[in-house]
Amino acid sequence: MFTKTTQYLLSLAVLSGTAIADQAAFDQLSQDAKDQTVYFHAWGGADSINQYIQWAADEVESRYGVTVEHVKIDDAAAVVSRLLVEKQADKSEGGDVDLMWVNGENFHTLQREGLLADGWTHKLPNMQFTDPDDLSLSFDFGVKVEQQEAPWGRAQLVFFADPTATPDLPTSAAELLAYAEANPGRVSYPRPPQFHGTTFLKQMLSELIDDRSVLNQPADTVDAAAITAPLWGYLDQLHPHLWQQADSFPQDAGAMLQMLDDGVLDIALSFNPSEASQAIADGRLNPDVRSYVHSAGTIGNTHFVAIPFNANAPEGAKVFANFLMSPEAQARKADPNVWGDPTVLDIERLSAEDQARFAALEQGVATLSPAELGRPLPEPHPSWVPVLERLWAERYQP
Amino acid sequence: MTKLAFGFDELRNGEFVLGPLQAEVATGEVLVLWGPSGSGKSTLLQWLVGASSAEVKNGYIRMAVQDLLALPIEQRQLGWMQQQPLLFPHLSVIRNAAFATGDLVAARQALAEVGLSAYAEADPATLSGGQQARVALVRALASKPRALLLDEPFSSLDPKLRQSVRELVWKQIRDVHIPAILVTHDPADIPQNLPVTQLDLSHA
Amino acid sequence: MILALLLCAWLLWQQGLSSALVLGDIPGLWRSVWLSGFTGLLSTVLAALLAVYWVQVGQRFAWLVGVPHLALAVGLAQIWSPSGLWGHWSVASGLLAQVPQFPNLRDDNGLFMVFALMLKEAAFLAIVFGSQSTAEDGQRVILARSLGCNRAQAYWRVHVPMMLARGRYAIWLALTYAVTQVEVASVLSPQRPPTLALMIIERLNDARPEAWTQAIWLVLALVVLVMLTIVTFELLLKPLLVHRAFGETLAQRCLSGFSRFAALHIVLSIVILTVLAVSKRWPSGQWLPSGWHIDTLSRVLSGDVFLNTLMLGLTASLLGILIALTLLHFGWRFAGASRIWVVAALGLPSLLTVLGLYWLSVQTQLPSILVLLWGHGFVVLAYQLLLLAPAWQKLPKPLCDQAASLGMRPWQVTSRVRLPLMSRVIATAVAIGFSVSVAQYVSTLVLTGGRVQTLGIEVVIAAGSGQRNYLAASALMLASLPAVVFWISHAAPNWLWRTRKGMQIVD
Repeated sequence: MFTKTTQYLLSLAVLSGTAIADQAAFDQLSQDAKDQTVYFHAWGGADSINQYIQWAADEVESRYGVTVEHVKIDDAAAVVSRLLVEKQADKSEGGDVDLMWVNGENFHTLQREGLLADGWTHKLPNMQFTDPDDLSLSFDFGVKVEQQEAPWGRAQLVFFADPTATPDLPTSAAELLAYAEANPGRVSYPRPPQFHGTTFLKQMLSELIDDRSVLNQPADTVDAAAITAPLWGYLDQLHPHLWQQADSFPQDAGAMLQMLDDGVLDIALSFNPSEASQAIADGRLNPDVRSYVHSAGTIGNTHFVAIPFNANAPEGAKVFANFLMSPEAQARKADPNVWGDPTVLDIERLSAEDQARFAALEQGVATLSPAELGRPLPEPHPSWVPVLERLWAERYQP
Repeated sequence: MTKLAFGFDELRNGEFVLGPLQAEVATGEVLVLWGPSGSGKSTLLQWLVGASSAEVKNGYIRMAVQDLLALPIEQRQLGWMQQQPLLFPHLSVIRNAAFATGDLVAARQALAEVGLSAYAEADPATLSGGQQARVALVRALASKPRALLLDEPFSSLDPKLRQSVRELVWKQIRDVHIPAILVTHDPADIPQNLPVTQLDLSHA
Repeated sequence: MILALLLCAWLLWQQGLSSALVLGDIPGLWRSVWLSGFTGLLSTVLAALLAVYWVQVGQRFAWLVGVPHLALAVGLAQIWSPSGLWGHWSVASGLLAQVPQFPNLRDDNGLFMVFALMLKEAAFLAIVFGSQSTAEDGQRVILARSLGCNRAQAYWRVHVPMMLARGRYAIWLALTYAVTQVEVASVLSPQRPPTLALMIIERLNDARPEAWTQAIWLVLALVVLVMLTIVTFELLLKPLLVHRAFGETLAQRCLSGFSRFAALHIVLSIVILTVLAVSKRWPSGQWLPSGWHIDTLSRVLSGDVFLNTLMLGLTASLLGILIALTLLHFGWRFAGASRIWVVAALGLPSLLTVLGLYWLSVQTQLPSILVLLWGHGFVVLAYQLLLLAPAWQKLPKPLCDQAASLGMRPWQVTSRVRLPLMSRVIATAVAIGFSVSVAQYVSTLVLTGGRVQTLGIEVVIAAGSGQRNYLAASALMLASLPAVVFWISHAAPNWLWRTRKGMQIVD
């Protein structure tokens, strides 16, 4: 007991000490950031998320005098591709991108190609509210983050269906196949390389192989073709029973949700556990729709914001990233009526007032509790993404 | 002997009214329709050929014993030459000449007869006015018309060319031996060596 | 042209000719080349036939030219997608128990893409054909009938070939666009594989290092493909159309039915965009959506994106007008060498220009907004010169001489006589420049990396993510913005000259 208390006090002293030091540096940083314009490149496909980003932008404008422009993109890989070109052309400053929403394979590429600013997230005061031992924050798809991206939110794959119309929800790959066979044309998944589609492949792969740990290793160090063989065998069986016999696929998860509501599909999926609740609250979705997960667990990950090597307004970007991690911004983001994206903060480390913010959040009508969601399955190493996408395309999109 | 005969009590095109009128023209003959501009010469010709929306009272157009009035324009088989040669700009000279029949051999021969064999493959837009008029004549005659309607076909030509084209037209009418109707206001257009009937429209 | 050469030279210098071998690694490349060529040719041929028909029957779809391709494609998709208008109605009427699976809008042969492309191209070609047709055309058709052709034969053997022959350059432009476009393809292109142009866009969005090299070689392949399709059209398809001598009556009936079908879709797609823009859900089995609201529409209208689109369009268009009039004042004529770049600006695949400009901007590190204005202005100016140059030449010279004899300097003659006389055509040129700029989706995206968000970019992002209400609201605004500018450009001169009778017909 005594040791625990001492440890706690010690760590508190250390923490507040660093926090104070950070605060002075951060004040200087926010002075430098004043009047900067930050171009934040972030996926713009969801109206709710766009509105949340707009809210956050308005807040840092009034609090720090930093202007944030949300550059809506449909694929972060496009930003990576531009940064690659700029790197080749030695455009080492005055870049177009100040901050970008990223994780997984794209982060891996950015880091490998030296397209990121040097480690900076330890300078953000709000990092103190995260759990330093949380591996999901220090590793992104198994790649060490090296303080080059700041955690923003969490995602976990969930499925949506209307239990009144679909009473027997398929909660495994095998059940899904059986369901598709019994209900031809009522099931589909987004077309890879769209990331929800690729995530579906990863989910099925994780369920279909015996030893999941092999996916933590880089794909080129193992026999990827042999390891993924069960997945292709499964999809070969599944595809003839998919929507339009897998001649075409939904563009992404948002499109699937729309198709669920239109009565085209019976099952939709998302990386945002609150998406269905939010769509119902917004009047965009059949109110009978509920969420569910597969019994073996579903893929989960953390998403981050990163600063490129040639950012034009790195100070402003850091100020904005710090605000995005603030208890206030995180609590608002977690609100299912706003976005419903789970927080990256460790609630225990928050002040009582901030803890109350999170406690006050209603769980949406179609949102699963953390217990129901279960422990997320880890993302495979990012090198599996291009392998899965290539093998899928060769097989199904000649 | 086939005759082209036509007539009506009244031919009305908007404000313009013509009639009553009756006329006929025999094979190898030329009916010359006289009149100042605005006297309805072209309206009359368009009605005959079937290209006009004019209203007619008690009208008839007879070729031998057949009444043409009820027939659509393409079944009347009346050759038509207008002030402008109106060659088809997308076709070569010979394809213009062979437009009605598709018979390129006959068209080549007909072009040779009017002295245009060298221009068979040419773009019609590169031809002079007189040459274009000759192609138009060949094109009209190649369709084996039962009569020929000439709507001031010489008026747009250079005075020097006019005479040679006139002679060519009269020669062809003599050769194919069909009735012809000529609309003009130029006395020099009247053929000298063909039987001619004249009709002054300003009194009709 | 110059940009193409620069790009080639850069590639050769950087990676050598052997880098073209990367093309061999692209799955489905040949099928994609075939798809682009096939859909381009088919849509253009159909569009040309439809345009000739529209000119003949006096169909008025000129306004469709101002509606960006993207908006029309989105509207059509909302009609035909399984959960679109027909899908919902077939369930509502009890015809089907549940929403159908088919049709697949992205069928492997791209037939829906062809249809959407065709509608827009037909509107463009109808305007060109209409402006080129003369009173003599009608006389020629009658003359053909006096030579024994029935109505349908005269139409197919005289009317159609005449228009096609005269509108040759317009058809080439339409063909180039159809083969290289991204706008319609981003909504309706097949996926197995996509069109060549979309393949290029995918490569630009690809983080693999070799993707860019592939993209540039694909652009050059696209240029070659454009030339091949033009040759194919001229040597194979046109003779087939011009010298066809059978089945005219049947073809005529098909064409008139097809025209009605097309007209129905044009009207329906605008209607459905409007309906979806102001409704939230469309529960399965109901005739109409439920939950009417204008929140989304008003948010789109008041947002930055709308303002960006408006400002960018107006800036590019007014800048274009200024440059065009300056050039004309100093004696620029649409002839000879100066014609080449106008033709190049309009005839080269826009992807080539965009990539070239992007490469230039990375090398020179020019501010992206400047490059963007250049990219838009380049095309805008070409269209405006095409319109303004003939009008300038048609101005009555005696009037200008008269002004000069009254002691005016050349610039005064321009500003006080020529410009007022041309006010009507200038207003039209502003509107055309504006709609050209609004439709420029790829260049805006690539040149600024999405920094300048416009309605076009918004629509493409929304189209992928299935937010139907938001998509429809953005697409509707995208469609109506140029329409409103067109309307103003038409009405403003009338109002300005309402007391000058002599100015009513100057055009």
